[in-house]
Parts: sequence; structure tokens; C-alpha cells
Amino acid sequence: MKQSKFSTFYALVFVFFSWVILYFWLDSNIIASPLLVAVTFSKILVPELLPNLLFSIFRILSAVIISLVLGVSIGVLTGLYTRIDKYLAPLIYLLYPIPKIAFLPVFMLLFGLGNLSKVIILIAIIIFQIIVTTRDGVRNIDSKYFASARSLGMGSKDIYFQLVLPAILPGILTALRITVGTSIAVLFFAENFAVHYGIGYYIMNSWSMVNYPKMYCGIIAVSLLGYFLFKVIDFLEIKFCSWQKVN
Amino acid sequence: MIKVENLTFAYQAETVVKEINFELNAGKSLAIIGPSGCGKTTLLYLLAALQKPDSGAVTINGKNLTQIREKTGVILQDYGLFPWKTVYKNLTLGLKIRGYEKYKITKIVGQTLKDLKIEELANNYPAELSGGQKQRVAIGRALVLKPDLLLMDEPFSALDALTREKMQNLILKIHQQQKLSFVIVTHDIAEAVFLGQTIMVMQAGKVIKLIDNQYFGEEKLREKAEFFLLQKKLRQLMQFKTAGDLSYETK
Ligand SMILES: Nc1ncnc2c1ncn2[C@@H]1O[C@H](COP(=O)(O)OP(=O)(O)O)[C@@H](O)[C@H]1O
Ligand SMILES: [Mg+2]
Repeated sequence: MKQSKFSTFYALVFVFFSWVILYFWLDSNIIASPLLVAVTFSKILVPELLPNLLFSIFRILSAVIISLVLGVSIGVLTGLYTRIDKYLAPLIYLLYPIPKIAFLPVFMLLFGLGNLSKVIILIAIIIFQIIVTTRDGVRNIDSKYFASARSLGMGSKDIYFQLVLPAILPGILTALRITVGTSIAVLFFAENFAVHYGIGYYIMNSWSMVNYPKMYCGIIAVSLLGYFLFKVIDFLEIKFCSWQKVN
Repeated sequence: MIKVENLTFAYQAETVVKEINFELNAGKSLAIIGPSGCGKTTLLYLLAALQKPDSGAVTINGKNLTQIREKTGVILQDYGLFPWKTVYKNLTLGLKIRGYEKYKITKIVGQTLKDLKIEELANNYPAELSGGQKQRVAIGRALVLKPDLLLMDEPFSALDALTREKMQNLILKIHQQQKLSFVIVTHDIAEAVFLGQTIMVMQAGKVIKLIDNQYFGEEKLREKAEFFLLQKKLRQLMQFKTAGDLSYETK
């Protein structure tokens, strides 16, 4: 715990000094003064940043939760039953590499301009990672555990919840970490279309209004949002996957 | 207790259990010995109903075995403990599945942990245990179900000699106290003689000999001459039957 607090502190110092160096070196108003940004940040955090952040968190969390439920289910089915995999795998392989963000206009046409299209495009991006990780995780479970489970008299429900899910959870959390970065980047882009709330919108709006201090405040808020989400994943890992650490 | 008739099983094209017949009376023990790959594990899986026979039948207590039996405890080759569950949770699992009430589970598991002297390991994960400790947990996981039949697949092969003897003594004690029937698969001749009331010698999917072991269960059997004589007999039998298979003789 001490170690992690120290490394967070170190990361903050590192980012701060890089910023200060750039500020004096480039001497341009595109790099806003750290001090000014800090003052602005404390002023607008509650009235401006927080509402926008909450909108973004709501979009990301809904997308992540829906992707997890659907993606893990599909992944478990394809991992356990080769017959299902035979039909789904080609579909997944074809759709996975498509840059879904390019289809944002299509999604907006289909699902409206509001939250729904944003959440759906996030799901379209996150879910494939979850499906593939889950499927491969299920396949890598040693068959001795299935024999062990059946010898104890476990039925399919118990096998899913006592064996399959715990075994693949570490892999899923890793996949989540990777997708969190992607989701925020995608959301930043998607929030520039037809919405008036969301941290992505806030940053680009400040930019077009040439309010650089506010823009940086938005950027810091995004960084903190990511930090918060990563910490939540770390917490889940400590809580549910501590058995892995002892290996 | 167990009656096996013309039991045959094949993985795809390869028949690995061929026309096996034997009987095991209640409260008795059977040790199955044979070179690796001869079909011991497969036979045990058939007895546990983890595999279904292609032909022939296993009857336990007069009932044709078609699905996993409630009262059969199974210990698999490398323990099969779930690494994501603590020792305690591993032991409760079988009872939870069988719908035991919470206070009963606590009582049974607590007592079993005490009996096997692994109380202080209750909150550890399997990866934190030594081989002998894992083995005790695996035995505990089978015993909490109060089985009348225990099936074990080379349970002690990964243990050092002294620990192995301790575990063999433990199994013998449990057998004598609880009148538990058991089948142990092994490739260790001394183990077969120590734990097998009947010793079944297998080769290439077939039973080539069933030996009655009159010394089974004797105190300090390991220090007696008969122990070594029977081992010698068993060794000769296996060498004779595997003549030409040098790889086995040199093991
Ligand atoms: N799941 C499996 N699929 C195909 N062949 C198998 C499988 N398990 C075991 N076999 C084969 O069956 C034979 C008997 O295996 P096994 O019962 O494990 O022998 P033992 O336990 O005596 O070493 C071996 O030739 C082995 O290669
Ligand atoms: Mg084997």
C-alpha cells in the first residue's frame, strides 16, 4: 500500500515537472500555466467538471457492464461448446478488427443522437476483447478441474460459478484494463457529436472557445477518471483474485 | 460393494480398458498396479462414473452405476483442488452442492480439518501448501462427504518417501475406523502391498493377476519379512509379464 502511494506520488511529480518544463520552454499560451490551471481546476471542479464527468462515467460504466454480461456469456459458451464456436468464431474474427468508431454516424442514425448510440458504440468496441479473452480463458482451464468438479457432484450451474468464472476472472480483469483506455479515447471522440454533456465534449468545447486553462482542466479530469477506473479494477483483483498472487 | 463385469472402454479407436471383471466386498480395499499408460486412471474414472463404459457394467451396492454417486469420494491424480478457493472453501464445496445446512457444514468441515491436522491451513490457498498438506486437503475434501467408497488415483506419487508412508498410514487408519472401502491406483509396489487387501496387476488394459494379500492391515507390516516377500513376488510377476518391455524393468 505504501509502495503504491509512493509510486502514485512519483507519477504526479513526473507529469507536473514535464508540464512545467514544456510551459517555460515553448512559452506559448497553448501550454497553459500549471498554476493557473490548478486554480481554475479547483474553481470549476464541482460546478463544471463533475457533471460532465458523471455523464461520461455513466456512459462508460453502462457500456462496460453490458459488455461484461454479454461478452462473458458468449465467451463461456464458445469456450465450452465447440459447436457454438464453429459458427460464432468466424463472425467474431470478421467483426473484431473493424474500426467501429468509423460507424458512429450509422450508430447515431440507428440509435439516435443521445446516450444510446454512444453506449452502443462503446459496447461494440469493448465486447470483442471480452469475448475472445473469456473464450481463450475457458479453453485454457485444465481438464482436471472439470473432472474434479464432476467427481464432487457439481452440475452445470455450479461448474459455471465455482469453476469457470473464478478461473477466467483474472484474464477478464486484464482485458478490462486494456479496454478502459480504449473506451475513454473512443468516448472522447463520440462525445463530440450531438451531446452537450460529457468530459470529451467539455474538452473540445473549451478548445474551440480558446479557453486553454479549462481545456487542461478537462484533460486532468479525464486522466483522473482513468485513474479511478484502473483503481476500481485493481480493487476487484485484490478482492477476488488474491489466490493468483500466491502462485 | 463393487461388481465389475466385462468392462470395456475406448478413447476413439484405442481400447484402453478391456473386458475387466472383478468384485470388491464392502469394507475391503483394492490396489491397482501396472505400468503407466496401462489404463489404471481410465478404470478408476469408470468406477467413479466420470466416464461411461462402451460395454460391460459397474454395479455398486446392487445398483447399476450410471451417474456420479453421492457416497463415492474421489481423489484425482494431482489433487484437483481449486486454486481459487481456500482450503476451507475447498472442503465445503461438496457439502454445499449437496444442500447441507450451514451449521452442519461448519461442524463437519471443522471436525475433518481437526482430524487431518490441517486446522491452521484453513485460510490458505492450495498454492501455499506443501505436497503432503495438499494431499491431506484432498483427502479431507473426499471425507467430508462421508463416503462409503473412496477412489484414489496415485494419490501419493508426488510425495517424499516419509510423507508418503505417513499418508498411507492415515488412509489405513481411516479405512479401519470407518469401515470404508477403497480403491487405490498406484505404480508403487510397496504401496500396493501396504494398502491392497486385494492387489490387481494390470497390463495393457487387462487384469493379468489378482492377488489376495493376507498381511494387509497388520501393524508394522513394513518392518516384516512378509512385506518384502510379497513385494518380491509382485515384482517378479510384473517383470515376467512385461518381459521384452525393457523400459519398464529399468524403472
Ligand atoms: N483423454 C484421453 N484421450 C485419449 N486417450 C487417452 C486419454 N486419456 C488417456 N488416454 C490413453 O489411454 C491409455 C491409458 O491411459 P490411463 O488410463 O491414463 O493410464 P494410466 O493411468 O495407467 O497411466 C494411454 O495410452 C493414454 O494415452
Ligand atoms: Mg494414471
